[in-house]
Amino acid sequence: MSDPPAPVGERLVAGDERALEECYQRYGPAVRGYLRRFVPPPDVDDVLQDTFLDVWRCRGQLDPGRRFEPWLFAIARRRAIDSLRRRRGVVDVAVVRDLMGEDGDQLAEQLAWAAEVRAALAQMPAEQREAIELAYFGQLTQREIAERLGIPLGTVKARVSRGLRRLATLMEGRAL
Amino acid sequence: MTYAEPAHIADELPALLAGELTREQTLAVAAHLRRCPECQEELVSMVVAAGTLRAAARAEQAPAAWPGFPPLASTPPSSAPVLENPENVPPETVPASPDWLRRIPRRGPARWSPRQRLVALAAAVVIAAGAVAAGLGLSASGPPVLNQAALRPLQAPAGASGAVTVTAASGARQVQVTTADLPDPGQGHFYEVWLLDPATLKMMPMGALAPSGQTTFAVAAGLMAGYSAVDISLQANNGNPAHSAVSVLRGTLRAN
Repeated sequence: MSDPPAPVGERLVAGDERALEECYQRYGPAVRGYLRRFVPPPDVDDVLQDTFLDVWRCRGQLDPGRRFEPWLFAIARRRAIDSLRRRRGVVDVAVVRDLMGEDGDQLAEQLAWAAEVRAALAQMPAEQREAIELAYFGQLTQREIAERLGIPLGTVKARVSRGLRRLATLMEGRAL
Repeated sequence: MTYAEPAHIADELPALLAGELTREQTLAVAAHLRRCPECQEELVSMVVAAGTLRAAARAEQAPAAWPGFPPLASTPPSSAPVLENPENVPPETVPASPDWLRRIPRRGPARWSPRQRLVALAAAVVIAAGAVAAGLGLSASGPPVLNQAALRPLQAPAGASGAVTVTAASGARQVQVTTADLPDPGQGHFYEVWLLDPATLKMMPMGALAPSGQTTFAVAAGLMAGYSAVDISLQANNGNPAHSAVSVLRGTLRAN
């Protein structure tokens, strides 16, 4: 089972040599998913790399008492904006507006929150995580989950219920 | 339902919030909730968690501004891939530990776990073997090796691995695919090998594959030239010839 998300930021600030890789493995897919909404496909991996280089270079600016994910996504957003500014040729005005405007800021914050949720789910027992992912990300009913997994409906109910209780505890216990 | 059975009520709350209870069940749960402070407290937790999950799912499904790219997908649990869901698209993935990440200067060398050392050693052996074979233009006991790559896990467990070797055979190409430690695909499912062009997402199916073992496919040299990666997918045996969007292993061939 992986460590809780918050210590990743704390260990990063402390200069833990493994924290950056852990951070990349945990949040890299979500950051890449954010970047490819705005950055032209050939540039996505370069901007992803720049983002995590910045995370390491700027780790001294991270307040360990604050949530790590919004800080990470703010860096990704800044790097995406830099990338569009540097890009030669035509860049869709709507893409730039969506990224740089208030909506872009809000989306980064929402995806940071989603990344926190995913990180919290990763700490949960696999059976509870699986049931919750199918219910809320796969949009299946509990009966459909029971059929898909070949388990009794009551077992699904118990797993989802325990998982939600645990998730609420994890999310409410996090830094502001 | 009585106050002495709070756990049973708690288990019904997610279905209540999702609108999955019948009228009678909804009324029974409501009646219990009105008189049970313990379950009211449970309800608060459930509302917070369910709302959080809905917000996360909605953020991940927001449409991409860049045209032609799907929204960030939900991650299907590895033990139960959501194959039949037509809206399911492959989850966002990144290389497990890319070279640039390892080159970032830090305090002293990174400490790797025994598993990471093993994977790195295996990758080094594949790369070294490829370099030697490419340099000599032949393999130890067979036709000239033209290309090879390690297959790395995407939606497969971290321990799963594979390798692909391309050799020349009288104007054609022999694509030898080796896999190890892929999980049993389960009843009604199988693994399939694809040639892939990552730039255009053009794909060509090659054939079925065992979870562990070696299979060789013959491809015309001209056809092979249009592809630069090999993808292993988990397919449902439902007659649909399209890629399932569940990629378990993938490797990029060296540019020739």
